[in-house]
Order: sequence, then structure tokens, then C-alpha cells
Amino acid sequence: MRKKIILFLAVLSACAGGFAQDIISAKVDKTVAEVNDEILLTVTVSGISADVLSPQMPSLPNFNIYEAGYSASSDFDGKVYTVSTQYLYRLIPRFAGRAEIGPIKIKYLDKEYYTQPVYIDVYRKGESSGKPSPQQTQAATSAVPAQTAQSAAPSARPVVPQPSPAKPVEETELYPNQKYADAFLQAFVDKHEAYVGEQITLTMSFYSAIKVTDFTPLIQSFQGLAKEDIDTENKRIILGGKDYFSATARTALFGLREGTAKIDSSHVDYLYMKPQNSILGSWQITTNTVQKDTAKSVPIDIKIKPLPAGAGPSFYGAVGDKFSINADVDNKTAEAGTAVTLTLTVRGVGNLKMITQPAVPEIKGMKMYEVAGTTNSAAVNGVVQGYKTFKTVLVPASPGNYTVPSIPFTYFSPALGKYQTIKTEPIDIKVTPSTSSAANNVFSYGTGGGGPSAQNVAGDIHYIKQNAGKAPFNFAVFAAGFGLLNLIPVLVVLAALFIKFLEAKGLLDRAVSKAKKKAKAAKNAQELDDALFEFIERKTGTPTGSLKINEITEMLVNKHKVNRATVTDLEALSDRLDAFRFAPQGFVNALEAAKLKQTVLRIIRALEREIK
Amino acid sequence: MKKFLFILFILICAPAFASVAEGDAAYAAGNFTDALKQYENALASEPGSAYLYYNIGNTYFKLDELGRATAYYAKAFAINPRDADIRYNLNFALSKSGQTLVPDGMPPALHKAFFIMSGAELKGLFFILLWLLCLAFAFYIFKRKGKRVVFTLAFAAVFVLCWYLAHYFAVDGMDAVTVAQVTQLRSGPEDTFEVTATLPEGYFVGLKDKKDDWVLAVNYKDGNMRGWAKKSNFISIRGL
Repeated sequence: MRKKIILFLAVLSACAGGFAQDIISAKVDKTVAEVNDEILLTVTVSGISADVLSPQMPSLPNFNIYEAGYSASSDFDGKVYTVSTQYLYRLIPRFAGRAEIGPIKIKYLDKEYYTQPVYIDVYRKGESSGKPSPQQTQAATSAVPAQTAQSAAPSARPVVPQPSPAKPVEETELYPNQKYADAFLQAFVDKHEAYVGEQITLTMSFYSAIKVTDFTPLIQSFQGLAKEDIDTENKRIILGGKDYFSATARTALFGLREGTAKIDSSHVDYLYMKPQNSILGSWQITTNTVQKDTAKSVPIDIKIKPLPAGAGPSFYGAVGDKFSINADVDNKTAEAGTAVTLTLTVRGVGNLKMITQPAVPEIKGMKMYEVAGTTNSAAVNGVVQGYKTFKTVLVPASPGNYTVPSIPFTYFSPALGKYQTIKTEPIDIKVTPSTSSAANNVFSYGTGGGGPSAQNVAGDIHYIKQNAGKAPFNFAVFAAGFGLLNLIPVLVVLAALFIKFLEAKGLLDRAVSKAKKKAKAAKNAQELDDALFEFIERKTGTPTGSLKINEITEMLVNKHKVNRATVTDLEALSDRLDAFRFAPQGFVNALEAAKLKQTVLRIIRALEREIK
Repeated sequence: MKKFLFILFILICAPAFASVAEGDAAYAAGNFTDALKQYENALASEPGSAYLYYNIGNTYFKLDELGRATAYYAKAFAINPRDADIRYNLNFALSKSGQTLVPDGMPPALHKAFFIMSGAELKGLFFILLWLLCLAFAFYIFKRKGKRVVFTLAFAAVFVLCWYLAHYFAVDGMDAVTVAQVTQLRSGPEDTFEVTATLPEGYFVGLKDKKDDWVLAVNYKDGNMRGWAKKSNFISIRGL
């Protein structure tokens, strides 16, 4: 339903041209912090439904990251809806130094949008004094709408009757003798004091006795708390004699450190139908108009108590009850040099996501490295439980019998108020000699590495090469070293193509240009005749002075593949030139001489194209 | 002129020859530390000799330094992948750390055929073919002859280019070899960052980024295993 509402609002927003240039932006509440401080990162997606398109966080090795809420808000000015969605994250810096929050990505309509990187200066405990005050410093990576900035602000106008949060909810009557607003948001927790890592259950309910047409998802933000969703529930109840619809979401919260943790004022934006009466003549007309309002909850403080001293080295942050730990390997018989995966599984009720990898004791003769594990937890009857696995790859260097020793695991039980330690069972692994190509050869991983000493049972490397100092000449490697000189042949081809182009235009053929020039300058038929046949001589390389016209044409056709039509024209032209040459003085007029000149030029151009 | 060039060649190469001979003698006598010193001296004047890298790899192997031995065999293999001894010793060294030269499922004969030429040789061969192709094409432009030669050379050039690119990507992730007994990969380029994985000696890694004295290494076998480690933990294979 929420997705539908957001999608609907997003479509409205898009239709109204409401897409902002800054679809995604990120901001932090401070840019100077100390190790283990808490920084609130707000990723805002504007104009589109981030409920459908979750932002993708980059790798942030400098921080422990906890999701701190998901929220959305909309604004309706009577014409256009704009939707913005915020993802809140709690970042706990792990190391001193300048830390970067890299670009956060969102993909929408096959395009990717990124935030600008954010930099945070992290100091060791007590070293940040004199640096810019975190409260005075705010980093925003791109313009964040004012509405967004306001959305996380605590409520100054509580609209809910002030409840006693510790008091349990009555099914039909929340607070006897109270007047209830038409719509309100109510939040309470099951405890106001808890140990670090102990579960606190937050129940947040939105009540409405009016006709609500749309409402945005709940906007929540937390300080000093990690969250995990439990469940949601919708129902109808009677309050103060009025029929209310209620939507309830329960969330498991875990304190991250000693001190005061906060659940900030949460709010829900909703649209409802408000009836209005008007008089038209003798008629009274009732019309409904859409109104927007916001329901807000009061903020809640929770005291987070430190865990008692005496946790011991095998405590990895587990707080809860009914924990168990199991160790297993994927193969109890392996070859030397092959990998064996050790899986530790921690089961229990509590803060599974906060548990760090238990240390596997060093095993002499085995190399080991950690690989990613998995967490599988869910709330059952409102209590978070499940299991978490940790994997370690073991590589035995040589044959023999190895033992993965018992691994202790300590957790704190809030119910008992003390630490409990449990252990895995030892595991024996038998390692046989390798059967790969270098069978039965075992080689240590270097001196002093804890592995067995070198044993060369069978086989060895091949002997050294004699005269190794002389590298034979290798022409291919030599050619590879030419670098950009290898582009020369490409230039040669380009040059050849250019020359060919110029030739096609007649700009490079001296015979053509000379003949054309001579023909244009000719004053009589004799000079035209000379221009024509000198051109043929130069192009064919055959002297034409002693040849008859029919011999010339045969030569052009047979040897140089000139078209018959061109040759026929040439014969006709030759006859006309002869006729004009021997005509009496004054017999050839200027017009005929010009026509003859054009014909000669045309024949020269034709022969220029056709002579091969 | 020829005499002058010959004398110049002898003058340049003489120290290398002398060092190699001394290195061979030291190796034969089982004095591997001295042999290593001599081979490294020779390498300074003959940096393109696959056999020198091979001999250095052998010396490191005898000195129980598997990572360095693997790295030098890999350098030799990058220059001369056809040599049977180089191939054998590289595979032998890799098997010590549970690795193989030929990927699982690939027929060894196919691997040998694919690596019959080095990357540099393929690059050079491509350029040679490019020269011939361009010259043949230029000739064809003027004389309209040799069309078949042009097509044959064009096909050969494209084939070699594809082979070279396949070769380039096949050795991606084999930029360097771990030489420290234990190489700790961290989540960032400083000692203060958390150790995310540990690699034993003699493992291939790809080097994807660098910052000061740190490099971002990705494990050859498992692309998910990545982290920052100091440069001194590795010997680079490429960039010969």
C-alpha cells in the first residue's frame, strides 16, 4: 500500500515536471567527529520513489554502519505533489584520520545518479577540542530542499495526548478520560533503561478517526541505536467513544554505546477529506476538499547502561540469551595445500548483527584467512533471534593430523545480569599428501612461519639454464618496442589514398594538365591536334607520330581498355581536325573553332578516366 | 664498423656473462646465496633474459622462498612461455601453495597452445602484420593488384589482435605474487585498518589501485577477496 502511494505521488510529481536536478543528495550532521562518535547520514531521494529504488551505499571501511530509519514525505501546494524520501544511517567512525563517504548511487530509468563525496575529519578521543564544533558544522553534498531539512526536526507541537509510555496499551481505551485528536501518532518503548546491545522494542502507532485518503510512510530517526524491523499490524479500536483506524509498526532497537540514546520525534504526513457546506439559492451543498496535515510523536530518551566489567577476551559483543556456538569443517580429510573451510555458527536470542568474528586460535602448520559470513535473524513473538555464521579458510601445508581447538564464546545475559561462556568441540582434520603434479613434495611456507620444515620426498624442480646471460634476439618483441612508430604504415596508407584522390581530380597528372592548357591556348586546328596526340603519347607511353589513327585507336582499345564509344569519338574528332587543318584560310569561323576546342577537351577528359 | 659493434657488444655483455658463469658455479656447489647475488648482477645488464629469471627462481626455491621463486618463474614465463623447463618449474612452485598453472577444466594442450607466444611477442607480431597489411594495401591502391594478399594479411592481423587481447585478459589478476610468509589484506591503506583476509606465500594477485606504499590486491582465484597491503609484500610480474 505504501509503495502504491509513493508510486502514485511520484507519478504525479513526474507529470507535473517536478523532477529536480538533484535526484539524490547526501548530508551529514557533522564533519568533525571522534572515534566511536555517532554521525547521522541522511540520503535524500527527491522526485522519485526511493521506496522502489533503494540507494546503493559504497564501501565504507572507516565506519561501522547502522540503518537508522526509512522515511518519506510529500508536499502538496494545491497543484503539484513533490515527494522526497530519506534514508537515515548512523555511522560510527572506527579510525582517526580523514574519512570519505564515497558517491552513493541510485539507478532510475537506466540512468545512474550519484551524490558528491563527503569528507569527515575523525580524531582520537579527546583530540577534537578546538576543531569546528560538530553542532555548527553541516555538510551537504548538494542542495537539499528546505522541506527535507525540516523533516528530521523534532516536533515543537505535540498533537498526541501525553501518555505514560511505560503503561501498557489497552485494547479499547488508551488513556481514560482523555480527549483524542482526530488523527495522531503515538510511540512508546517497552523499557527506558537497557544494557548496550540489549533489545528495546519500540511500538509506533498512527490513529485516525477521519477519512484519510493517503499518508506517507513513517519518518523515524534514532540516535545511538541500531534498528531491526519486527512486524506491522492494522486494526480498528474505540477511543473516547470514536472509531479509530490504527496502523502499528514494531521495531527492535539495540543501544550502541553507554549514554542516552534518543528516538527523535517521528511524523506521518496524511491527506484527508474535509466536508465544507455552502448555500446555493435555497440549496445547502456539502463538498469535500482535500486537506493535508501532519501527525507527530513525542521524542523518547532511553538510558543505555554499560556492560559490566569482566567480559574476557572471548566476548565478541553478544548480548542476549540462549546462545550456542558450533564449529564444523567441510572436510575432515584433505590433501596438503588444499583449503578446508571452518564454519562457526552462533545461535541465540539477541543482537546477532552486532557480533564480531570469534578468534580462531593459531594452528601450527596451517595458514588461515577469514572470509565473509552470513547473518540470518528475524523477530519471533517480538524478539530478534536467529544465527550468524563466520567462515575461516584453513590451508594445511603438509600431511599429518591437525586439531582445531575448542573455541570459547562469551555473551552477556541481561536476564541473569552476568556473562556466560560456551565453547565449541575440538575438530580433528587428517591431511594426506598432495596428489597434484608435484606428488609427495612438501615445501615449507618459509622459515619461521610455523609450518613444517622442507621435505623433498620425490621429484624436484628442473635444473638451471646454462648461458642464461644472453637473451636471444626476438624480432617480434623488438617490433613491439617501436611504440608510436608502428603508426607509420597507417600514415602510408592515408598518404596513398590522398595521392589517389588528387590524381582522380587531375591535380597530379602532368600529362592531363599540360594537354588541357595547350588545348585551351590553341589558335588553330594544328595546335589542337598536337595537344590531343601529345596527351595520348604521354598517357600510353607510345609514340603516336608514326601511327595512323586506326592504329592508335586499336592500341587504346586493346592495350589500355578504352571504351569503343570514346575511340569512335576520337576518330571523328581526328577527321574533323584534319578537315579544319587543311581548309582554306577564312573557311573556319570562330564558333566552329570554339566547338572543336570543347570537343578536344572532352575527349582528353574521357581518355584520362579510361586509359588504364 | 662491424668490428666496432662487436667489441661494443662484448664490452656490454662481458660482465653479464662472467656473473652468470659464477652464478652457475655457485649454484652447482650448493651456494645458493652467492648464486643469487651473481644472477641478480647479471640481470641488471640483461633485464630481458627469461633464463636469468628462471635461474633466480630456482635459487630462491632452493633457499626455501616459495613466493619469490614463484614470482621469478612467472616473470620468466611472461617472457618465454614456450620453454618446457620454465613451465614445469612454475607449475611445480604453484602446486606447493595449492595452485595450478592450468585453470581447472582447461585441457593442458590448449593452455600450451594459447601461451605459445608471450604478450610482447603477440603485440610485436600484430605490428609486423599491420606494417605488411598497410604496405600491401598502399600497393593495391596504386596498382589494383594483390587483393588476396590484403585480405589474408587483414585476417591474420585481426586474429592476432584478438589473441593478444584474450592473452591480456587471461593474465588479468596475475600482476604480482605474494612473497611475505603471511600477507594481511586490510580494509584500507593503513595499518590501523581492520584485517579482512590473509594470503599465504606464493599466491597470484591482481593489483587494482595504489596509494603511497600500499596497493589494493585482489586474489587471483577469488575475486571477492580483496584488500590493501604494503607493496613490499609482493613482487610485480608485469611491467618488465
